[in-house]
Amino acid sequence: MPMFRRRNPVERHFTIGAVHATVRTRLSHAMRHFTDMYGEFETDAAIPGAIQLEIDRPRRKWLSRRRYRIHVNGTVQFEPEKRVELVPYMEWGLNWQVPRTMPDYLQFHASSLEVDGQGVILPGHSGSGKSTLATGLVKRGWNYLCDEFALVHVKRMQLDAYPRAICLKKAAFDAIESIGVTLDRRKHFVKRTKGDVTFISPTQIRPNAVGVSCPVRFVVFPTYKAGAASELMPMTRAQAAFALHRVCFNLFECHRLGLDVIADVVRDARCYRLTSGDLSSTCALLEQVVSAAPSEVIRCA
Amino acid sequence: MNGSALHATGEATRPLRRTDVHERELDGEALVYDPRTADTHLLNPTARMIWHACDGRSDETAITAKVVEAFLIDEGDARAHVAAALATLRERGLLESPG
Repeated sequence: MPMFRRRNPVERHFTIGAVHATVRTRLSHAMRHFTDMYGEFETDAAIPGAIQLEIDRPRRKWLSRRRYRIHVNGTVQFEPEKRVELVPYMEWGLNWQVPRTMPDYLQFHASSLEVDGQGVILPGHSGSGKSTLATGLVKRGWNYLCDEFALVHVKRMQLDAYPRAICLKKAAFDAIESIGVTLDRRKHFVKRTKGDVTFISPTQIRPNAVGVSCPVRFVVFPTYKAGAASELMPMTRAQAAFALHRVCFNLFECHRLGLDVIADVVRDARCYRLTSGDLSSTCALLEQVVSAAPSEVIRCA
Repeated sequence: MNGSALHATGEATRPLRRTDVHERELDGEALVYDPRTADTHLLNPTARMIWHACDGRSDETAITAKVVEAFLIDEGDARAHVAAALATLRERGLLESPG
């Protein structure tokens, strides 16, 4: 008989909006963190084609440091050393597979929200303020779709939800708390590209905060500038489409020619560049935009 | 390399736009996807009009006349716009190379 028996891996299944995932691990803390964020999306049965996420921590060999291993669809994708790095890498592993496994969607690096049945895309690279803005807008009553992806179904031409936990950088904590969102500052993680981060479920910001499928009606490219006045500048649809193609994850891998989908996405949308400084005034400005009739002039704060 | 995009015919040059690229028009502007290079280009209304005027029959003077007529601008300005646009289109490889 062995001296001790290794715990059997636990397997749980999740349907996080359009994304299905199965998580398997012996590490109770890894599963606990994941279910803290996605427990409300847990399902009883495995979904065919779900992204497979497996986390283990094999014994170290010789003098090498002991590392966690994150297997994504059977391949070791990440080997973080520290426990505080584990959750961000699990998230990353999941996101990594979204463009590869969902060719029915054209996918943009963007926050996406739904308000009164209208889809709003906030495309931008890391540091543009997408997640902070998404948090602020959800707090004010907008419905959350995702803070990292805008998933546009190429046949239905609808924006679908992938309500992953919102990843907030430490630099944004004060701004987020200033609008009345409570963060558990003790529970933070370390993401290689972003430093200290925390994750917050949209329903921790507001109950029933997850939005429904909707057509894209607004495309707003945010740029965060500390201390700047919030300002919106209209863009032509072609300019927006051109900028969108640069933040598209799978322009050549989806089931339609990406450029055609992008043109269809912006055809019925109003498009802007946004300079955001103060979170509350930026959210107020965006509220003004979505509630205004198309011909109205939007006055910047 | 794309080489020169102008078709020499005697003294005149008659640029010809490539038809093996994918164009999507949006409110008078265009997104043009080039499958050879996987590049996407954004053409404003003037550039798009000039690109479409590159039919292999019109020389630079004829294209300039079309721009003057379409946008009601001074001929000198139009000539400068056309020259600059043709140079950019040539540089981006959106005009046919001479055969």
